[in-house]
Amino acid sequence: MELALGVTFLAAGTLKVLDPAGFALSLATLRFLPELLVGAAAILIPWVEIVSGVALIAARRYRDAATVLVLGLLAVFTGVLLVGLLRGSPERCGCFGGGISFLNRPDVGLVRNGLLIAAATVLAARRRKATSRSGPASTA
Amino acid sequence: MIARIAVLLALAAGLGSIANSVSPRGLSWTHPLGKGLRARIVEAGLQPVSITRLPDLLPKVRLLDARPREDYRTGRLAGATSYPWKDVDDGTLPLPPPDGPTVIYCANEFCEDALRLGRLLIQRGDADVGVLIEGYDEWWNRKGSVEKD
Repeated sequence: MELALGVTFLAAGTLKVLDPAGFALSLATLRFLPELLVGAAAILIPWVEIVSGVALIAARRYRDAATVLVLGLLAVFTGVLLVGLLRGSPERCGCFGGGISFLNRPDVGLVRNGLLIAAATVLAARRRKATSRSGPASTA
Repeated sequence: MIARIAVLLALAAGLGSIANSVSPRGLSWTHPLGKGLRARIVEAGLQPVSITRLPDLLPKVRLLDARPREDYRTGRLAGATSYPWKDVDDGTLPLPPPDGPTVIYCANEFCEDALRLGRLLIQRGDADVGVLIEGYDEWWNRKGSVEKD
């Protein structure tokens, strides 16, 4: 599950990095950030996704932190998509780069985010359980 | 846990800053997209066209859609012809032939494809070329007449 989540975020971040102007345009179109912050968000968000994705796949020590980051990103993205859909925003979310494709449809994005949130929550819960089990043993 | 989150965020910020500064596609931190579009439209010798003025102009002008072809297929102003800036820029699509008053649009006030295509038309010697400032998105929001494939 870590691998699937990690690969998804790695792919999403990489596609955005390859087309930063397209992603910035999508962010501006969604109108959830002040214009002055669109540039910083377009530059940094893809790298948070990439770093989180790599940590989920390959950095055992940072998986907890990456799961929290991923959950935070998903919560924000989902909120933005929901508000956008309710407001009747145009048909692009920029979730996987700037172009329009099936993956960038806001309704598809909402379903996908729901599944990813479920996966990340299960991961976080499992890890918490494992930590609470191993905690007393390791201190004994 | 918080320290590890901070490490990941710092790493992302560092990598993002470096990549943005060395990438030829790097963005401005504060003005990433098309700031001052109206001023640049005028500077380029084009006419800024506001969305409230467009319905009066529609019967008299040719509409060009400068967005990517995929966007055009998904939804466009009724009667518009697709001339993606990217295709014109990389030479796979020739400039549209001169054909009277023309209004070009792209996605919204943050995109520059319409401005760039308009510049080329003006450089070629076309007169009476306008750029729709608010773009397709606002037209769509206002329930303007659109069509799709």
